Amino acid sequence: MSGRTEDRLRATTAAIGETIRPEDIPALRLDQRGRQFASTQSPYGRWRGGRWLIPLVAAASVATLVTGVAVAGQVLHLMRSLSRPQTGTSAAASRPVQLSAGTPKFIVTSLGGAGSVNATATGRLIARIEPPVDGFAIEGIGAAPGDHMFVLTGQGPHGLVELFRVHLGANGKPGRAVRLPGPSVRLPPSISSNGLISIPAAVSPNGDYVAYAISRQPLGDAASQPATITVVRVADGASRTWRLWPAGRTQISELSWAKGGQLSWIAVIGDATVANGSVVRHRGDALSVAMVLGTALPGRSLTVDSRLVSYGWLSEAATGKSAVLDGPLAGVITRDGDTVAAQILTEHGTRSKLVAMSSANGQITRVLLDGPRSSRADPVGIDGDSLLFTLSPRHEHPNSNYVCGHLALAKLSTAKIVQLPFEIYCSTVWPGEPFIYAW
Amino acid sequence: MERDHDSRGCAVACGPVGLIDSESGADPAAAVSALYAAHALGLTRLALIMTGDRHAAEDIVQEAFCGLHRRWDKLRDPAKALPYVRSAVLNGCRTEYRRSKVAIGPPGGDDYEARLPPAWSAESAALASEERREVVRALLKLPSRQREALLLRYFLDLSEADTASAMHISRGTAKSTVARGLTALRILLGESS
Repeated sequence: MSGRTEDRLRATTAAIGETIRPEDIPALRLDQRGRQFASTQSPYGRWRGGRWLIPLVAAASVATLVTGVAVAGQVLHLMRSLSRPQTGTSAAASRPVQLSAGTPKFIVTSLGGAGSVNATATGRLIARIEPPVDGFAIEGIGAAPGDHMFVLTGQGPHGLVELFRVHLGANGKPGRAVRLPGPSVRLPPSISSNGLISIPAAVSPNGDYVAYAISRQPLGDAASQPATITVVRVADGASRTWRLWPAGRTQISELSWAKGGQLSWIAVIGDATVANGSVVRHRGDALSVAMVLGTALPGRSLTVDSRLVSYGWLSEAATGKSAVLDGPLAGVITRDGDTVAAQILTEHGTRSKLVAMSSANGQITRVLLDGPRSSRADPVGIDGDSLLFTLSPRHEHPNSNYVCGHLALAKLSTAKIVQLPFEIYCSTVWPGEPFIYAW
Repeated sequence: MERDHDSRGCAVACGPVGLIDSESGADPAAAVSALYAAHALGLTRLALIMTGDRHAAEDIVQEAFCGLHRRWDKLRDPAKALPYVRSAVLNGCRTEYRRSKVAIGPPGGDDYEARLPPAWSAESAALASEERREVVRALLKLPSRQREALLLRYFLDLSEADTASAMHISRGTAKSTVARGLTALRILLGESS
């Protein structure tokens, strides 16, 4: 036996191991529900977990896929509802939280494409949102300030993208979804419906305009489908579309709207670099950006009509290795347009911060949370001073359901953070967005 | 974590068994939490080395301790808690390794290293030197059992008995597996005996 071999083994494994520091270890989250967990039913009326069901459904999907794409889409929908991260409340988590004045009372969520309204303070399900058309799957939710108006984006069973407006009553009950004039876009293929894709949406502060983004879809052709942001006037359906150059990596992930026609957007842009403070086309590089589009500007180019707030690099393009992202990953703009609350990845994507930064120059004005990426905070909605975000969504687990995060709110003015009684369950098999939510 | 840890991530204060003191032993949550505080770092590092994926490693360890908590009432001897968790982590790593092996694809080709998980790739700061990358490549070529045995023995510095217990094999088998693994590793690294 060679001592040198042992020494090399020890030195190498120690070097890898020490990349995890003691402070990186997340707190232990014990499942207080124990073995009851797999058989409980979520407030969304869908089975959560049910490990024995997954192989059954997988087998069913194999048999069904050969019978037709439309049916396979339904099976995928079912598989997702069984296996994807889900949300819900538990006895441990359902203690109501005290909401300060001005905090939205309701959160609209979509799980597996099906919408519902929940009470912010208790997590209680108030009502489900009836699908406006049969087979409609919600793929984006935009919220107007206050608790009254939401816009749902999504696809029907044939892949046609549609927009619907829903008003909530004072008690949170949703009215009938009303179809808005929108795109005549059919996303290939129709199997990509059922929540497998994302169509981010935002509503202008006065509710007169709706914006939605369409990026290259799975199996779609990047060259023929440049990513776009479209703004629609609700009253008459008049619309304008801004485009990015076609690039395979481009994906617009989030929209939010501020006063003065400022629309913030978060994206990864392929074949792009920064020159003189502007995003320009440059083959081979890729950027992660937070930008603000001036919707009153006359152009058609997303990069020309937008100002750059913050950016980082997707290093995959430069190195050819696995993707490492530094820079903004998610973010929303305050209604006054002064501040962007964003999740910023640093140290080659291994750490993240939830920050408030100036929308004018990207300067960080307040760090709300700081930690390893595994405890990242993903801001998704902002209403007044209240920022809605996920807290500690973690890597999906290979074996079973467990609580991998919560919804939380932060008061931007005080940096006070309150965990909301919405647990996020992670489970297995099928990657994808945990769920969609807005307030 | 407030406790001091050695380079393997074991809590210095945890003692030889490292687990459950008499006060927390009655409360499963407290006992499991104490065990987690003492050993999560070391086990997460082990899982990182075995899977190459930090987030997967954290989840595997988290699930192992959650599993221990769920089954606490069936644990007759609290001293078996740590071997149980080690075994659960090994099982989780095997599952993750099989899954990632399918995703990474077979060795070979110019892009093989690019397909590796972050901690095994040349991009990892820990593997800045070619010598260390060579060791990782050699480790990945070993049969799983030999790799596990070597890591338990030389990364966690477990005794032969504890290695055997974690792997659910006899002490003699653990000893011979470690020896064969070292020999294979030495050959792969081109070292003379």
